[in-house]
Amino acid sequence: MLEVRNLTVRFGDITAVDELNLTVGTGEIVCVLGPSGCGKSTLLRVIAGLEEPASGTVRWEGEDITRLPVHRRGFGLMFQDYALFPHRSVAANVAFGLRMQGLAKNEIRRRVAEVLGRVGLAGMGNRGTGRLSGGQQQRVALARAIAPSPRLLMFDEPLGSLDRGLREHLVIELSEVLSGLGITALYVTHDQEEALALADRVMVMNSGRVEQIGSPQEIWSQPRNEFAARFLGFNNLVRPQSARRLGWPVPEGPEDGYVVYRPDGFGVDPDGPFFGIVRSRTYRGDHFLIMLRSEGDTSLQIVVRWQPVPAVNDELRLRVDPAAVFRVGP
Amino acid sequence: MIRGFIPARIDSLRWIAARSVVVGIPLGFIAIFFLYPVTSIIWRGLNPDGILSFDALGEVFADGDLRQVAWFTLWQAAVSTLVTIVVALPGAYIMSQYRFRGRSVLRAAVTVPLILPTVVVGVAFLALAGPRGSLGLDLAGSIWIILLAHTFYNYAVVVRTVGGLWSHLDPRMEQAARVLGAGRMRAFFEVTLPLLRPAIAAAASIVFLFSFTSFGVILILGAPRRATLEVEIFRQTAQFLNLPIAAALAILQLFGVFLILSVYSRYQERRAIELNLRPAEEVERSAAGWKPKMVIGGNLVLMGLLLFVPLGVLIRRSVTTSTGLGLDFYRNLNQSGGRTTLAVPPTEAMVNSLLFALVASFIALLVGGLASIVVGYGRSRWSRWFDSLLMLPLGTSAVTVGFGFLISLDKGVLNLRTNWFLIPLAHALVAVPFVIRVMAPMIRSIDNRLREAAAVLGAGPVRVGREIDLPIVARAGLVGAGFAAAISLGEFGATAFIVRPNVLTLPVAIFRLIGRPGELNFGMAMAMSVILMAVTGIVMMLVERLRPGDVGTF
Repeated sequence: MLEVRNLTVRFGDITAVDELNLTVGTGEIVCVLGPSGCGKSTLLRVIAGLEEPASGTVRWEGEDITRLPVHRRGFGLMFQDYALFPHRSVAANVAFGLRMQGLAKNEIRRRVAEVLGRVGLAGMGNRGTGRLSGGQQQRVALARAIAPSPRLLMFDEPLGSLDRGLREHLVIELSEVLSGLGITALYVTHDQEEALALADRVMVMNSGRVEQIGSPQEIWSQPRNEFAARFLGFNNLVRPQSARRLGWPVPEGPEDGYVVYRPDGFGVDPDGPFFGIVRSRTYRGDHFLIMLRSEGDTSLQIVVRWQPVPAVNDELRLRVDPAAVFRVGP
Repeated sequence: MIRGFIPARIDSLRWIAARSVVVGIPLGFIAIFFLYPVTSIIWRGLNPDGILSFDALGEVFADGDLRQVAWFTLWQAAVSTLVTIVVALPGAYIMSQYRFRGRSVLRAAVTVPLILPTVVVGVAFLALAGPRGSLGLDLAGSIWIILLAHTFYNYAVVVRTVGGLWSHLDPRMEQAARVLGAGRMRAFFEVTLPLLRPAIAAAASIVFLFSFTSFGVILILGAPRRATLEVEIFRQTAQFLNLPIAAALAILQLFGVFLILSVYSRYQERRAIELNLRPAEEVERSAAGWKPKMVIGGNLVLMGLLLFVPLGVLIRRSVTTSTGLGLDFYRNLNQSGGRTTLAVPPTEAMVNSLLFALVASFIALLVGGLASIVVGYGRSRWSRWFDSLLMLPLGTSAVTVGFGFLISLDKGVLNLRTNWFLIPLAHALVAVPFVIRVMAPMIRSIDNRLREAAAVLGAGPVRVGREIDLPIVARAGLVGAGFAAAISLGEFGATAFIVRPNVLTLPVAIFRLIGRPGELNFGMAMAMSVILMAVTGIVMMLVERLRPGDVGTF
């Protein structure tokens, strides 16, 4: 079990991580989700031992490892862009951590072959790393990280530089490998789809602080505050006072927060409470997204899957599914 | 071959004529003043009496003393290279990995020895640890002072070459090794060092080449016991007038240089690995905490001792007379004969040096500039071949150039042996490769999009050339000319062969002075060394001012 307590990291005047607390249970996969510069990579680097915190502690199974040198922690880390050793073959990259553990040569060879097979690179050990495709490099990096059987496996935006199609494919593979290993893992990303697909728990992070921790379902269905909601892609955030004035449905919740209307919860209804003019319409493949301007300059994004699709400057009257409305804190 | 500013549909006869001049002048220059002299040496060495014979070469191998010279040349170069790399690697480390105050000043300062004339380096170390040295420890003639001087001289080669790569090396490579369980040392030796290997190999071959062909330093500091092939060629020529043996040694030396360069280029081809280079800002870190500060501080002390103490001692000794501080040595520089025993006063040598520098930089600019246009604008294999041909004098030693001039340029229209013009010609030949190395990258760095932007904005081909290319080419030319002038000022190896008693240059006058007894002679040598250092320094500063950013360094 990994426990991070009151962790603060500073770079000069900048506080990258601010009094942060986090626990990762044995066998659990936690995803840290946040925009670039929120401190999520720094958090990872402190846990790995590559960065020193200003204050706070990192514990593993109760033992304080805050000042333990990086190479004695027995953790694995997969870097963004992989950081494969370009002067070594695929097999030598994977063998590196095993050699550091002082394993016997034939034991290393056996284990390298096993791990390469597991990530779908059987027989590629003698290749150089320079000519590999992005997806293959990613697999070598994964193999290198898991080969020494790390106590905790960490990922620093491992799919960040890949194109969308490959990324979706590799998320599935990665989730299979991780659940097959039953390993404790900490995964940092700015991509909510990756986080929701892989995690047992998601931690949303902003400006060095935790905004919300919860299961992927909790995070998605009930973002706790404005930041989490906006980061997950919800844009229809309306102050409760304004919503009431317009006659829109408002569930129970704190007055200083927002009401959120999911964009795909709307439907045409001549008696509905939502009224406005279509300002723009964009095609999104399986749906249209329209921007509806209501009174008082409040705008709503609405997913349209019905026919006929409204045109720009059409007037619309809509209702909303009550399950698509929730409240968030400030 | 030439793109950009030469209009495509120019009158073809004029085009061909212009092309012939641009290519022909450098080609002719290299053929007459390099290839011809070098073949003359080989001819002289293998064919002394009109018949092919290996007698002279055989004589070299049979002679125990000469075998000793060849062996010494080799091992002192190897040890010098090793010592320089070991001493300079920490310097490359701190300057590439840490941000600290004064780093850019320091980076410029460590380059100072590299541009110093070898004679000045020799005199500085004599002043420090010679028979009259400030240390009170006479190391003259020992291997130690030679190693020290070579390390002093080549420190910047390692810092610049290795540091240049290190400052762009992805720091996550080392971090990945650390996370996988490698300690600091293990990560360095298993990951960082192998990744730096191309740069270390490049630096090592340059240092090895410089030490292998070391002339001025060894002539001054190694006397009378130590000699490299270069020094021995000079002695055989100037003292024993044994030209066949000198020629045989020169062949041996050429062969050695050729071997070094080919081993190096084959190694480069084989070892090419793709590195994911990062911007320097991403690599370097601030020097917070006591550990980095200790490492940086320790290195600064080492650099100070190695690089600045010798020069400081030289300057101080040049203004220290038996009666205390004074400019006596400087005042005596306009004297000749009498106590100074020089045929001409040193001030005259100074005027000569400046004049030669002017003429040499003009020739080098003409030849090197035209060649840079071919190399810089050319894209074909032919222009690369042209480039390597013009680089040949760089690999060959200055002594070979001087010796070649001496034995070949004595017939017919080329009978220049008694002409002062021979000296700036030799200087220009040594300088041309440097001029090209500086100018061609600057020309190549002109962004073609600038030309396209100018053309789209309505500039015709000639106008594009005048507005976009010309300013940059002109500036590159000034930089190249400055380099050539600095090289000419300090050139010693070639000049030593062809100089005549009544037309001295500064380095030759300094060398003659330290060969003579008496405190005044040595004091004047130091005073002249300081002046030479100052003039070279000023020229190089002007060059640095003119040069944009990192383009055209080597």
